[in-house]
Amino acid sequence: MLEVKHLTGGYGKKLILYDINFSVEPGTVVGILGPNGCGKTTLLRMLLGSLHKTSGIISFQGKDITKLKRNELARHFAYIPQRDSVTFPYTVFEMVLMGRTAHFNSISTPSKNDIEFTYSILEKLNISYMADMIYAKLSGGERQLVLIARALCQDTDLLIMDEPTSSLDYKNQKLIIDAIKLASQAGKYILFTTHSPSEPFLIADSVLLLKEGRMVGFGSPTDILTSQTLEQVYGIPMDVLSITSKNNQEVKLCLPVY
Amino acid sequence: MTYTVTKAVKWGNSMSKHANSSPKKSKYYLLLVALIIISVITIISSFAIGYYKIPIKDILTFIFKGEKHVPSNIAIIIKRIRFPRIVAAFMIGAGLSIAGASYQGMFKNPLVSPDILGVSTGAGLGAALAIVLDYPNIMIQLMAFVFGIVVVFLAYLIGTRTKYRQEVSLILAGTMLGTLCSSFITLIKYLADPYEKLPAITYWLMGSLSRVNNKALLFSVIPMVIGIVILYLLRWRLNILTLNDEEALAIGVNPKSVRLIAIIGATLISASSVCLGGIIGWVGLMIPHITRGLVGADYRRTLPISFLIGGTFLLIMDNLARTLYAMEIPLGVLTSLFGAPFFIVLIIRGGNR
Repeated sequence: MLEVKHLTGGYGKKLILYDINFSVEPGTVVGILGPNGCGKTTLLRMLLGSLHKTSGIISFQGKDITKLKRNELARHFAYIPQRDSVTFPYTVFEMVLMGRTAHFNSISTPSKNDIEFTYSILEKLNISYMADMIYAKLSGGERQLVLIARALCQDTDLLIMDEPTSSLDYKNQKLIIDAIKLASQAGKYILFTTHSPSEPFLIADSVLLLKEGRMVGFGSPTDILTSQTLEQVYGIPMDVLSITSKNNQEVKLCLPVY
Repeated sequence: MTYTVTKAVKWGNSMSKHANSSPKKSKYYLLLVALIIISVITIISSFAIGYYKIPIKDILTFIFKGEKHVPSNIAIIIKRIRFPRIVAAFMIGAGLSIAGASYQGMFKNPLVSPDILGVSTGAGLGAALAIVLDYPNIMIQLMAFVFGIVVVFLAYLIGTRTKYRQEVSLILAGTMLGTLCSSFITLIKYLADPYEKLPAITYWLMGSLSRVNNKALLFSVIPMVIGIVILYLLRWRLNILTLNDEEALAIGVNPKSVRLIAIIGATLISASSVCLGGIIGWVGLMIPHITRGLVGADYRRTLPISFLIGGTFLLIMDNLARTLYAMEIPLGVLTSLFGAPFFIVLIIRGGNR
């Protein structure tokens, strides 16, 4: 279980997040929702240890994660960035293989097992055909899938995704959502940020709603995302609609009222 | 490629063996073997070339049967003149290429060269000072080496003062210190005795291997080999350094410490290259590009291939430098003649390799 208690922190003396409390059970998907600048990314950075907390506790399976070594933490948490930063012509296979780095020592290179593992992850996500393609030449959705594959290759319990579906078209969004569901069925904890209030209804088991660095609520999307809380967070009137989709499922949709 | 489908129950619980027969991998080994053969042939035939022509037969006899079996004057030329020079040319080319490849990755910029942190201009300043102060040859080398390392050290101290995007501030700090050093060099040249010291400084800065001897070689090759070994051991981590710091951290690599070790390795290589052969530009920029075009970006392949291509390239350039014209052409001039047009093509093509 991931437990965050009274987490407070920010950049230097400037605090961004105040008193965040939530916990995540294995195999569940948690969405972190809030408007721009509410502290979503700051929260992710603190979970990943690239930003130090001022106070509070982040514990994972009973261990204080701030006391873990870099590569130990990387065996528990994997990160899927929103934008990648690749300047060089790495192949998809090489990109995904990089996820294995925490599993061998500093001067080693990936072993046969690491290579096998990487291929099996590509197969799981149905992207084996991409293995030899140049990563930098792929489309946004394909890249996102490769980054998910890299995180899965890291073989962690928890995946942290920064706005996984933003800037993707519907078809690619579905690919990513399917990949998230697949990972969650395999028992992984998943945390993702989003600025689309309807998205937690689609994939999240619980949602953490943030406003200006403070939490407005944490719980199941139906309990937390009401027109009152959304209005409070976004500062404009909001509707939460219930509609029946083509495949006879009840779908909730959040709409701003302009 | 044919990957057999695995029926993994858990994540990655695969039992199939499909990774070994990759055509890409065998293509790499083919290229590696071909380049090793080309390097060896180039090295051996370089002994034949020069003002005094030595028959290949004598060279092979020297190598396989020992120096007693060839005329003593030929043995002396091979041992004292050609050997240090050929080894120096190959090692400098090879070393600068892998230093350049490493820097390009860690600064996430394919247009970076090994002297981006000011090592060459720092070394140039050290050498210029030593020449003006009338120090012996060995001191010129030593001062070049020490100054090169000190300038990189300062650039590192300044560049790592910032918390985020250290790659950028490192480049800025290195460039500024480089500018500072070259203004001092200009000042020294301006004040130097124009009949003796000024030409000596100018010639040193042009880059040439004509002053290399076995003693100088021994002095420089040790730090160079240490640097090469450091970078080779880091070859997988260098891949991770091409990602941004946050991703690298999440993968389990501390980019700051890996970057520091890689800078130490690359600086040992460049500083000893400069003190051996003066400022030889462009090799460290050009060769990594060619290599990435051949084998891709993975440092497990880029480093060995850059090493071989870089070494062979600079050796051929040095052979041209000493034979093309009755008087020796400075090596640095020749590499620039090749390098600058290459760079222009790169800019036109967008530099996206």
